Amino acid sequence: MRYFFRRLVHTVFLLIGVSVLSFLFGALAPGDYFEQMRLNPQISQATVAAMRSKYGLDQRLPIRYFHWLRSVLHGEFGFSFSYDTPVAPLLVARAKNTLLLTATAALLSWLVAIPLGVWSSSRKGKWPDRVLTVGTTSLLAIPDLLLALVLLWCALRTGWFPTGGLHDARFSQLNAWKEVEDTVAHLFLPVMCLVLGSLPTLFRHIRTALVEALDSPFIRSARGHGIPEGRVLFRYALPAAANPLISLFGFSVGTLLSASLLVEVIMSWPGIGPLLVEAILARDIYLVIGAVMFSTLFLVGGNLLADLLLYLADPRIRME
Amino acid sequence: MKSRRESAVSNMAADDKLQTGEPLVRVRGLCKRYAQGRWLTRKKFLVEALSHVGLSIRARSTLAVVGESGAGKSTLARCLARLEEPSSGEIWYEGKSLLDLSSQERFWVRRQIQLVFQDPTTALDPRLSAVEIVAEPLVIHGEGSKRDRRQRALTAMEQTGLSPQWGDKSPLEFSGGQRQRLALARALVLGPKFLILDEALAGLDLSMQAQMVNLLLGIQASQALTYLCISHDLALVSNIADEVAVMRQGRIIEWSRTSELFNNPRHPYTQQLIASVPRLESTA
Amino acid sequence: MEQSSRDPLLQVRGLTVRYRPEGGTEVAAVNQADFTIASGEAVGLLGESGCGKTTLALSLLRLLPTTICDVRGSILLGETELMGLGESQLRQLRGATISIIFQEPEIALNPVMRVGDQIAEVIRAHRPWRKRRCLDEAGALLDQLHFIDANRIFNAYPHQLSGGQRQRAVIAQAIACKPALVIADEPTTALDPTVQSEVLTLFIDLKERFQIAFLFISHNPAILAKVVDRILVMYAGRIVEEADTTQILRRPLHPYTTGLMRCVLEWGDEGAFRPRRVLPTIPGSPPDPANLMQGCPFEPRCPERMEVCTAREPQEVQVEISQRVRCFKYGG
Repeated sequence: MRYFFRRLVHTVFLLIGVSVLSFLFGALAPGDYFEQMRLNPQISQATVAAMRSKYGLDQRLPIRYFHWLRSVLHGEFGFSFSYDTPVAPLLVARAKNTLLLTATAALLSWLVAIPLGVWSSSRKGKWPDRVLTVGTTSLLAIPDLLLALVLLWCALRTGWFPTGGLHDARFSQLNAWKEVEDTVAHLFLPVMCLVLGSLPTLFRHIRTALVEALDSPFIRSARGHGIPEGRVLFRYALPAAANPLISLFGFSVGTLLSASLLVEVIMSWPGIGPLLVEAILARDIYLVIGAVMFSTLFLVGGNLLADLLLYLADPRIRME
Repeated sequence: MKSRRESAVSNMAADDKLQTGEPLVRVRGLCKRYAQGRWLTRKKFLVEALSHVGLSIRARSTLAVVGESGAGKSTLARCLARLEEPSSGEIWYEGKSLLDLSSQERFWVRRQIQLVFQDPTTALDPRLSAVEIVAEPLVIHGEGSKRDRRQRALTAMEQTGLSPQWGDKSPLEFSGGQRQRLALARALVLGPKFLILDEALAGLDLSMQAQMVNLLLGIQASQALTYLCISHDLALVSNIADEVAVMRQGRIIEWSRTSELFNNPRHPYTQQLIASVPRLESTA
Repeated sequence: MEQSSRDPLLQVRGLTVRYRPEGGTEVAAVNQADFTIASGEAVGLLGESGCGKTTLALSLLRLLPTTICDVRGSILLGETELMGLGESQLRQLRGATISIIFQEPEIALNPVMRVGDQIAEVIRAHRPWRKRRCLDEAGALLDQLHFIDANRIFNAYPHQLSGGQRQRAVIAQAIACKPALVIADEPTTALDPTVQSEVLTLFIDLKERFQIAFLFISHNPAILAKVVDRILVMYAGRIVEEADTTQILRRPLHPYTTGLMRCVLEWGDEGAFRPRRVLPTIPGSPPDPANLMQGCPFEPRCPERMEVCTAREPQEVQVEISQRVRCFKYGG
């Protein structure tokens, strides 16, 4: 348990480091939010300068950082110029949607990949294995962007799924059950896109880990004792193969987050993705930093979760 | 103008006036402790792998160290081969302390003391051919041209009973006994004086073991070698050793000449060990 | 040895196992093996590495992958012909009627499952009992196997146990369902000498207490001498000699058996130690099964070879009531 405490402390330091770096990089990029205004001849230089100093953008970097830290401690995480509100409430609202999307996609992709991987490894070399391997390799070759567009096109043509957004226009008028239905309908396409994108990698790793585990002497022992094959696969081989897979889980959370950025933008899913893109383009610096911090937290959280699972799953690590 | 390394070598060689029968290797009060335990708590388990071990091995003789797993035999071997640092104690080789050497002297010592391990499969790089494996120490010590090295490697292989025609084969094509011969050839190619065999004959079939024992005895005579043989197999040891030391839990509990130990074991643990060796009498 | 008073449990006739390695020649790992094991009898299989003994053991349980191995012959267990059974029927037999113990206990146990659970798993696979009862049975079994702290062992993971404890846990798994036959493949090779003798004593005890038949595989005749009543000697996939233990020790017939007996490093009489000497060995090394020449496979290393030994393989000859040998010295 001391180990996790150390990891938490480590995480805090990591977040501080990330924030510093984001600040530095933000400062390196030329211009700021009010650059656009400056180019507009109708607004006088004096007004722009006044706005700058109002928001503290003319102060030196360390001071701005210090002010931002103070804002963080107040729970505001800085101020967004585009939206004219503190960053935190904006982020939280969007973050919920991103979490919904990513968590669903992660769960679904693992739930599909595990049985497929296990089944494929037990039929190694035979045709179901070959079909799955070739199929997932082809899927791997298709870029996420293309996948998303293809799915959108399908939605348009068939009208089965809405082509964007989170809720229907009449959302507030629906009852509870219909609300859920509606959300699921809107979730379907972006989740499908993310799942199809991450499935190949997961499948191959699971299959490889299991093929290796199935080669172990204790599997031969278990079969020699007459343990039924299904149990051998799921109760003997899979737990023994779990180590690399749990680490992969932590890693996959990170990659899923990056993929979701793109998918959210294309499918107009109101998550962190579109917000971040907008903020970058508008040079809304504090919003950008806030979004980056959130992503970092998400990533680190995923890895920490993976470590915790590893600790729980493998008695050899627990006994260290 | 000699290189610095060559001068160091010749200086050390000048001390090499030991005659047969004088101790080549001496160990005194050797201790090795491993700390195991939790980080931030005060409790720390100190595992004493070696506890005040003292030995001496006469030149051209064989000392066997026997004991069960966890007794500390391999730790002793690794300390003597300088793969590990003891926590305290002294190790003397040819009258020189092995524990505070300059880097050139340490290089020289590596040529003198060689180690053969138990599992030849993992000790041999499967991507190299047999002769390349045997020649590797020559490469590391920068000796001779490529042709010389190959020649010396093939000679070493022949000494251990491997046909030179097998030189270009991969070690994967060798049987267990042959791989162990290869490992032995690699240990001999630099012309060492002291060979440490760490369970080198375990896991071999009986006929292979017997062949290896004969081979080792032959090489010992022809190349004036000194052996430290580590094993848990007493029967094996009875045929190859002049003296036997019995280890238990990091200590040497008995040390005598082989005939003395087998005919008249003093410590009850030694008696127990001897009693547990399966004999060829039918009790069925 | 009154063999006739015991029912034959396992009757193997003409068992041949051929490997078809990818891109290589077909290799007969086991060639025309014939033997019988009576119920409650301990039989030893003596042979060195590469002679096919592990392949033989695996083939008895039909555990060899069918894609690369071709198994022919007859394996009669009681009245049932094992060669004709399907996978699910075989699974019912494995662990319950015939069990196997592999060589290295560290790797034969599931590293992420507790020892007690693993033993209970075997019971659960063959008995229609609830999980609780299986666990209780497993605990009782450990008690019977002379574990000093059976409780701790029950709840421990394999990596927390010593080599000897692990091997005993593996033995517990093997006898959990009171099988009629246990095949033990070099079960003591990886163990320390004192632990080795304890485990051997355990085997003898189990044989007596539960009337389990054993097929004990080893490369060391001295170990077999302690445990088994009858020994089969295997060389290059063939059984070259079969006799009672006492007969083999007193008068081995096949030159290979003779050579092997002499290789056992032993002391002289009355435990008096013999000084260092050149050891008798069998020259050369075991043959590569893929490159066997015509004739007797032992011929290249045999000190008593004759003309006829290169011409063809010797047939089995019954020299005495319970001693058979495949060697031209005795006919064949």
